[in-house]
Amino acid sequence: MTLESLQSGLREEEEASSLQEIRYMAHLLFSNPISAIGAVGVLALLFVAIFAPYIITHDPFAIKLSDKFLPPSREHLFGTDHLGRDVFSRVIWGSRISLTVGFITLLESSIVGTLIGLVSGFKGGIVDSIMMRITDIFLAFPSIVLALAVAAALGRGLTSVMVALGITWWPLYARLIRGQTLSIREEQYIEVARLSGASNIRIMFRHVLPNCIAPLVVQVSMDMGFTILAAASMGFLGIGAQPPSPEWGLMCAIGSRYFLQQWWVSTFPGLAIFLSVMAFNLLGDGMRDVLDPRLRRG
Amino acid sequence: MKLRYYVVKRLTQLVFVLLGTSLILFIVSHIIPADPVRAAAGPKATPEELEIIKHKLGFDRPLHVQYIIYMANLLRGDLGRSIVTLRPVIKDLTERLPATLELSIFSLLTTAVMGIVLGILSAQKRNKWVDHLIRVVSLSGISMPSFWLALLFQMIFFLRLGWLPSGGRIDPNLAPPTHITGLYVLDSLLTGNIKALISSLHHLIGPVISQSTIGVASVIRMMRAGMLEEMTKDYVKMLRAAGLSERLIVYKYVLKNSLVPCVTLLGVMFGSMLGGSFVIETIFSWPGVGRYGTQALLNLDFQPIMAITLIMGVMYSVANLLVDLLYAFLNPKVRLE
Amino acid sequence: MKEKPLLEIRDLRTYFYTYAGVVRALEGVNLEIRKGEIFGLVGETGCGKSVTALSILRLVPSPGKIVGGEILFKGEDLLKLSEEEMRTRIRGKEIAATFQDPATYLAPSFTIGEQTSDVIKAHLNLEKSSKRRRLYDRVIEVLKRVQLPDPWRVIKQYPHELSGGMRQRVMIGMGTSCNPSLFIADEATTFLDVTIGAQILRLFVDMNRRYGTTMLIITHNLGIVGEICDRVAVMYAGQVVETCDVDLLFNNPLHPYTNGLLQAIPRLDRDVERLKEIPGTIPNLIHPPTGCRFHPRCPQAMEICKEEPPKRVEVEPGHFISCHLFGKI
Repeated sequence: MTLESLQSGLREEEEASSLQEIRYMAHLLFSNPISAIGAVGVLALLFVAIFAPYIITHDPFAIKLSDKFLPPSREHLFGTDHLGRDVFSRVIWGSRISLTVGFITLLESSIVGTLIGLVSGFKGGIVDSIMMRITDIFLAFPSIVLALAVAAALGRGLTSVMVALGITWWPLYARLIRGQTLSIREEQYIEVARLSGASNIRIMFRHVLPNCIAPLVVQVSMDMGFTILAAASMGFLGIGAQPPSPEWGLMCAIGSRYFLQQWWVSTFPGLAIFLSVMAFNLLGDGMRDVLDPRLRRG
Repeated sequence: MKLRYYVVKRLTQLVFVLLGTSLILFIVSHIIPADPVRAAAGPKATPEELEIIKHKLGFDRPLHVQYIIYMANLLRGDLGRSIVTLRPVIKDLTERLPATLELSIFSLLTTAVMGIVLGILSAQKRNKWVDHLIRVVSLSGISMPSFWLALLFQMIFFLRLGWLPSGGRIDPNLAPPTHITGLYVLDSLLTGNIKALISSLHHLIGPVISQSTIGVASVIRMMRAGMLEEMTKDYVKMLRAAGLSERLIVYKYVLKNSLVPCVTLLGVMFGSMLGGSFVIETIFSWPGVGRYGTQALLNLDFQPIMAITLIMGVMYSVANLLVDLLYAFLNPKVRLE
Repeated sequence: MKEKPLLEIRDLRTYFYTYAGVVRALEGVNLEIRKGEIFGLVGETGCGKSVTALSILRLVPSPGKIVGGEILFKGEDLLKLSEEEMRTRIRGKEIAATFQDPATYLAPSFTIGEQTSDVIKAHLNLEKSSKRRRLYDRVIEVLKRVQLPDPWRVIKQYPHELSGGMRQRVMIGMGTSCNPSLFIADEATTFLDVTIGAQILRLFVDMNRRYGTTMLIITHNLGIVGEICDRVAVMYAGQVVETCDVDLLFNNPLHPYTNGLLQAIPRLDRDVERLKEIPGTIPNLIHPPTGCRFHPRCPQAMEICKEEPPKRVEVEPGHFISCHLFGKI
């Protein structure tokens, strides 16, 4: 058997098995009631965010002072706020913001974290030590605290939030991927690839990376909820989105001034956050249950 | 290795990490803002004031010199001055720290106790309705924004029911207990001031429950998973074969082995208490570091923001170190590494 | 008149109800162990030896269940006792066991002294006044009995601080601390070095001679059986196929499976090119072979072996066999 045929055989095996795995995962995901509910919830949220323009009943930014502080009714499902804006439409529109922030943040941190984790775990030695010390330093802060400081330094606004959260989240992914890389590094097919002269970079990306995807996906689905919460908290503290943005955290903050009488102004955005995060957490939980026993099997 | 060596090793790591955190904050406060001088001065400064501040803060010096000045200041305890309170930050912090500590400690205790008890219950009644209920409730707990929970709490327990005060650490009509530690509960106990004790505890309920709800879920999960896994272990089989009662096996052996990994969670919990303090203290008008921080954020008052971040980083690192040491103490095997 | 056996297992059936199907782990196990003897239970991995031990103690883990048969211990059917009675009277007291990997079978965060005294406390009621002292003495005594060199030190140590052999001794000590009538050793020496294992075997023999403890030695190693057992039962795929004295087993095995096992042992006195293995693999216990479970691999299988399971027959006094070759007498 030639080395080439061995290689291509292994490659085929890997590809076939990863496709199989994805299908298997999807199947298991929907058979578990918890993750199924989560998956449905997340899909609903995506639907709402994408089709927001068709779902809203009023213009989210239209100010109508004569209509301020109307309680929930058939015309204004969630009532109106201090500027007469329809809360329901604002909440629906806010879903776009939350999902975008969450998605971009996780994208940044997972990419940066994965790269660093791969290199760190693969190369080992001094590079690894230095990288790990750096992640230790970032992880020495409670994440929200660091994110607040960075966002404050960058100035107010959603971009600051996304950058700040990305900066605080990447160490977790770096650690995760590094761990995976360390264990995969010892596997046989890596030896084969190395013997056939593949460069380290090639090995890292073609062989090690695909096998890190599974735990990464689980982690991302579990973290999405927390990211949305973190962004909302920052919005609540005035660091994130600025008025008149219908960001859920900001809405809660402004509404909290009036919650004595006009409880609906902050209750509904808060509820939206709660349900979205819950959906992602259920999904993440379910995915972890799905993947965990399989991981143990290997 | 003996416990002593482990302690020394971890302490040196801590020092290194602390140096790193101060470096990071230096970078954040001096390099990241587009105009660090304006950031430190505040949005309303005039050009002359900017020049003065620029010179005073040393921004016209080279970067490494700035860092040395920064470190020197830190070690002297000079954390800058707040634009809002116009006092040295270090003074503002020392006044407010006990309040935050008291809140965090009580929240941590509550989280730990509730989490462990509910976790055990959940594991024992596995898959029965109690278990499912606990799991759903705990999942809701982590999904809820802390500020929303706190607001709801106030709405129900203060507005509608009037059971809990709206905020503050103690009844405004009562004098706070004599200052020994700054922790009202402890101080009132030490001075025998029953009225202050009851009032402080009463005022703690709202903030503590809001803070704990979020952390409880993780503890419950860990306990539940830990116990269920321990029950499948071989030594349980052995102890059963030896005729020990199920009660003894679960509440002595399985419990201890399950508790130990939960200890590491405590450190993380403390971190989220610190992070959550910003929101919770603001909503409950709790005069602690968190509320101070929120104020600073709203005003982009930079010196306090950086100082708070640093202090919290230090506290978090120390807490984690203590937790690790506790873990090594409880789990003799770890020391061998 | 033969004395009644200490332990008599009749037609024991234990099944595991798994997602993949019902695993018929034990399908009619028959066994008699006489008082004071060292009885060996031998067979390949997966044949049900450990399940038998767990069934005797009624510690079969879910999804397993004992579905039929009788386990008569001193004349009493253990399967009819309540869980409470099993725990207080039988387990650790009348019947004790030790398992194969002492590393995982001892609780990790507790000292040896703590665990052992808990076991003793569970069964023996010591008067309150001098309880602690007497308990301490008792633990030392137990550890001395299993020939641990420095019991005062061992009491304060944790399981991970001891060597494999010492841990096994501790387990044996814990098991025999209340002088059980029957002691079950499940693969006690498998994870130990040969020399340490030999010491443990000697310990068993010693315990049997000195205290008259009846022993059930479960192993896959025929060598161990040959060395210390008086009588032996051979198990295959959840059933006992042959039971007899040890000498008879080695010199005149009757069942084709036993024969196969013995032939597979490498010998020092003969030059063999290839080890003679039994063809095939152990059967799937969810869908076991019809009739005699060994028939697919048996060199002497007949038509009837496929259709009917063989009955258990006493070929000579004390020599039982389940095989159609010896069916009709």
